[in-house]
Amino acid sequence: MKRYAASVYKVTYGLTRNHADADDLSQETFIRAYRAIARFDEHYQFYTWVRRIAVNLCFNHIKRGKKFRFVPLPIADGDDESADIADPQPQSADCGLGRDLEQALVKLPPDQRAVFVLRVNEEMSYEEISQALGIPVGTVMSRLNRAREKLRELLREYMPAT
Amino acid sequence: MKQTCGSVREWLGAFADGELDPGRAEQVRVHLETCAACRRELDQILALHKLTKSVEHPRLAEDYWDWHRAKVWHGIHNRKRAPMPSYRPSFAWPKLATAAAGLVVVLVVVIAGWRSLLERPGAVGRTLAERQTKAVAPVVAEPGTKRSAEVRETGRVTEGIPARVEGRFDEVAQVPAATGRDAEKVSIGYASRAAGTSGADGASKPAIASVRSSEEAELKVAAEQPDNDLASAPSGSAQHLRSSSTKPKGRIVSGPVLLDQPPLADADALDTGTVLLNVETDSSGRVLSAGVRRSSGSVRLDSVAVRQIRQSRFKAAVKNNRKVASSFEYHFRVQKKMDDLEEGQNPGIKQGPAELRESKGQQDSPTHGEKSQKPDSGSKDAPLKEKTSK
Repeated sequence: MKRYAASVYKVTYGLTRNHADADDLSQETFIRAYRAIARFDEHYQFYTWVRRIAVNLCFNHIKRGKKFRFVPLPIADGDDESADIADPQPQSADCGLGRDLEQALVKLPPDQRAVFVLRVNEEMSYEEISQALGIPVGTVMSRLNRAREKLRELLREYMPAT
Repeated sequence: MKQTCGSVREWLGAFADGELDPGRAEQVRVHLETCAACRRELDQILALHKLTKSVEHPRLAEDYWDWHRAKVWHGIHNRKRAPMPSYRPSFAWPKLATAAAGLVVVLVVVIAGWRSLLERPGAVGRTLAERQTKAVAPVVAEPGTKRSAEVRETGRVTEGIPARVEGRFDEVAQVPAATGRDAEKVSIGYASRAAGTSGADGASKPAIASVRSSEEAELKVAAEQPDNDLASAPSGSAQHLRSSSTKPKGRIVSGPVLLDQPPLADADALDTGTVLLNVETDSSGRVLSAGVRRSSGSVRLDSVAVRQIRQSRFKAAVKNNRKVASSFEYHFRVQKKMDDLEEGQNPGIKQGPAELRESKGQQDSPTHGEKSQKPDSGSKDAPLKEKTSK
């Protein structure tokens, strides 16, 4: 589960660019997957299925304009399994390129950022992105082109000279 | 086919991702061999991808995933499941039943609206009443008096006035032809909801049409004045009859008629206006109850009207030669004396009973002519005089 959890977290973080949201959404992804496991088709990869759930959750979250946030679960008395577990914060990101890339991705519109992250980080095909986001392949291509143009402009100093 | 830089650059991203179909990818490859600018563009795209992949996401502590797993299991085992959606049958009959129920509601509303329209003074019956008035000149007879009516008309009624009376009086009395001889037997007048004009003589009194009913009874239908203000039956006769549903049904020969009412005290005549009252009388004509149906706008005048009518006495309604209890609506009106208005007094100031005047109808009425302090029933002339005095 840890392997899938890291990958799902990577997806949720890539789409939300926010650790708290990514943390909540990745947990919610596994809870939903557990409850819907009966509907899982064994002909497909488990991660593909879970990632689809994660992408849907993230997009619903983004569409709500962050008005909706997952409320932390109340810890029941005597629930030792999770009561004593602190929430470890992620270590600070690298400065320089990492910070600038982070800021550039945050400046992207959510729909362009999602397409770019799913393509570059997750290496999903256009068809998979199209199905995951419910948009035509042509829209995936156009959003990718716009996202690349903006990122090249924002990360100009790291780009090779033209 | 040689591609332009513009079209190739649209495909460069997909070419870099390996998503172009083989034929188009080959065209791009051929173009790139000859175009240095597009090659630099492709290099930039590939560099951006490499740059993005080179940056790791926030590095999480080693125990984060243990904590993450614990939170997931906690959520799985402790969070309440979402409620199952309720079963909703998809077949059509519930929709049909809903539509039928809606249709029934609409029909009920339409019927109720039509009934209320009929019951509204002067709403629908006016046209018929006007036609009636054209055919039959009004009988100048005072309701509640034993005097014979005088029929001035010579024609015959071709269409009756629907004198709508509910409950015990629940009949639509078709007004048959009235002749002078028959009309002389008329003894009691009803005020009808059907509005009509005042008649050929132009008097402000209600037009009263003599009615010869089927048997021994005659029914006199008095139409209202055109201004919808229930007119002025002099002496405050029962204007608008409405029965209680507990009483037996049957033909009413005569309705209740005001016989006596105590004089209005000075302090009670401070306001002017009209109060519509609900009145119930027993078989002896005694008032059992009286309540305000439509306020005059003055609480004081309303209470005075109720008190006055409770102290009044009516001639009981008669059905099949027997006195019966009845309930009806009664217009109680207080109006300033015209003399005071002509002197320029403010009609809104305190006025004593001496400033009240009797309407022309009251003066004509031999029964009530001596009741000088009775509330005026108002006439058409009154507002005109008020205007001219101002």
